[in-house]
Amino acid sequence: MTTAGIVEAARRAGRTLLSEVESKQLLEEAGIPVVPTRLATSRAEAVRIANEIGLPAVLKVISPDITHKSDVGGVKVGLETAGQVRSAYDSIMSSARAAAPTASIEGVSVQSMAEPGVEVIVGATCDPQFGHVVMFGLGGVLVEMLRDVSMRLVPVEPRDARAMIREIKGLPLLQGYRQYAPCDLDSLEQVILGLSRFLEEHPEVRELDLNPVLCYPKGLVAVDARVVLEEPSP
Amino acid sequence: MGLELDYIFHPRSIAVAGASESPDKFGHTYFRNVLEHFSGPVYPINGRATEILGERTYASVRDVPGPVDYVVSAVPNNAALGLVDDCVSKGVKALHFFTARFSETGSEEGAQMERDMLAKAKAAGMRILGPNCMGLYYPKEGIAWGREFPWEYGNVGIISQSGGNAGEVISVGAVRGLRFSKVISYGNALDLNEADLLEYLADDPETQLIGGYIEGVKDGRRFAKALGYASRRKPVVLLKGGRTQSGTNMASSHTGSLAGANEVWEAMCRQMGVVNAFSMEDLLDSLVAFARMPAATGVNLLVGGGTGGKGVMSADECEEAGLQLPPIPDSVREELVEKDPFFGAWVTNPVDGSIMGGSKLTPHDVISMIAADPDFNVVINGVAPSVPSNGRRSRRPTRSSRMLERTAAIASEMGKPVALVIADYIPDNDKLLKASAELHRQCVKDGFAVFPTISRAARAIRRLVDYYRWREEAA
Repeated sequence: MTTAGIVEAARRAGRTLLSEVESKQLLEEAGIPVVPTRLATSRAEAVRIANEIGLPAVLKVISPDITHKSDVGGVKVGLETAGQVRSAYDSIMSSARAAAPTASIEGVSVQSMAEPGVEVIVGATCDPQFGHVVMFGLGGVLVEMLRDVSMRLVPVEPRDARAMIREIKGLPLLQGYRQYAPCDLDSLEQVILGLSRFLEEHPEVRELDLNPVLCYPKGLVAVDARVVLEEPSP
Repeated sequence: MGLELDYIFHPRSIAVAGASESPDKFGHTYFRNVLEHFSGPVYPINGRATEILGERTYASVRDVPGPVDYVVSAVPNNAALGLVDDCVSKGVKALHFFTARFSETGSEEGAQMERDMLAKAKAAGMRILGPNCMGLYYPKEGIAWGREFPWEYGNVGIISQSGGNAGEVISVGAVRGLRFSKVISYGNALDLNEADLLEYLADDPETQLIGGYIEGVKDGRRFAKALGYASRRKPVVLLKGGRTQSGTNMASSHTGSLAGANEVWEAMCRQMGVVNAFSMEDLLDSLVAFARMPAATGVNLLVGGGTGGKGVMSADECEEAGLQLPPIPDSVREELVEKDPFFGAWVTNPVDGSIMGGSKLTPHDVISMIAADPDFNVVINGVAPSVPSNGRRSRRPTRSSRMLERTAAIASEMGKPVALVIADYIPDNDKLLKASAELHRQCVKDGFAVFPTISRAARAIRRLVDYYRWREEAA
């Protein structure tokens, strides 16, 4: 589905929050590398998709009502066999239903397991005064605690993208630190710039998180994505 | 970009509506200022008095015989709409409302009055400044709201949402040697807003440096763009009021929750090359640095004039501000040792003048020899960096200080940016008070950027360096 199609479908359903699968499709179209991810609505479909995209796989619950998937037992990683995928599907469904009984659950996203890398977050929000803002920082669960992030208004220019990456305190981690190899900062700049262009073309996007993006010595990949649309104008 | 507003600053004539006979009223002060200093005709508008300061009054702007380009309103807010009508029928070009108590009160009635005023003015092509503001200070044209503001003009342009803060920048800035091209206090920004005024100052050839006090922005995207445009041409220093009032956007993402109003403002300043001052002192220090020091892009600093512990502390403070104090280069060391083997080998950066008793070297020699080295980018010299501590200095605080100033002048003549430090303690001894004031006045008069502490000087220098580096890259 195209970006316009995804946005339209969400609008028709009265949703502003796009699912992980929809969000990733949007970003892929914007040229941002994402982990191949598809929606499965049954146990059998989950196994079939996992076999197609290649094991090991990751399963995550897809529900417009669940914000923090891992808090409800909605994430299973490192699934090496079809059997593990099958039981992960069941386990996610039952624990998500138990933890969030009123949530409407669409199914699970099935994605390939990305190689470990340095976790960063690239995101965007819409400031009431200045419009779209792109954010970059060290990712993972500590991002809100450490607040080690940098921001720029859209449109972001190449020099801004470069400065954003170099402004954070955690920069040494990206430049090669202990067991971590140096990350591909050029690709990271391209993601920031790509996101800025995407936002210029899509004023209907209100908030966006790519968290985490895994950075490698060559290239990177967004493992999770979340897009929130503006409320439709009445 | 914004020079189409230039006519507002060059009226042929000025009328003060609500001109008053009582000297403590704005309607009096403003009228008196323009009467004494503005070259064109000025008219007091007052329905009761027949004359003010010897000038014949008119009951309405409509009654003025000649054309009126600029009107200053000090009338009560219930007379504001009527005044707009009068000004429109008279063909007035710009109307400044000192008059307040409109939308800023939070009342719907006030907001409605503003909308009506704006609609009438827009229909007639008349511009409104304010309401709820002090308006223009344009010393070159003889326009000012404060009696104490200097009439000598300079090249610092200021926009301020607050009239009180604008007045403080002018008065305190003046003591520190700042002179202004145009200061605009714009209050509620009903019509002319911060972006209009910024665009104007960015292109105004009389303005070489822009300062501002901003609380809220009407059109953020346009304002940000105007900032980027302006700071590619001249330094822009902004002080944001209301930083701690967090933006109440209901975030449902990490990014949304991390990008509060203050974080976004900070990011916008970095992106647009704007100095983001965090206090009135910081705003004034930065303006003083930009106005009175040449461009600097290097952080290698030479510090002189401190003694003992003061010198050690100054090194810490400068490095914390992001400057570096390199050791004395070998070539300079050789010269120093040649002149005096003992003291020449001992002296360091920061230069401690108090160790040099009995030496063939004076602090003056040392500073001028080191400052001449091309590796040093900036010089901070303490002139009176601490409270006088001994009887000799207390009685004659200026003699040694004058020598230190002359030392600094050497570095300044080499084209190096120089900051002087004169502690701003207030002596309780009249003679000392007078001497301190005299020393400060003299250093300012000689053209120096003077700061009350080393750390404030260092921070202002770092802001200077960051700006010029940004501008070099942005070119």
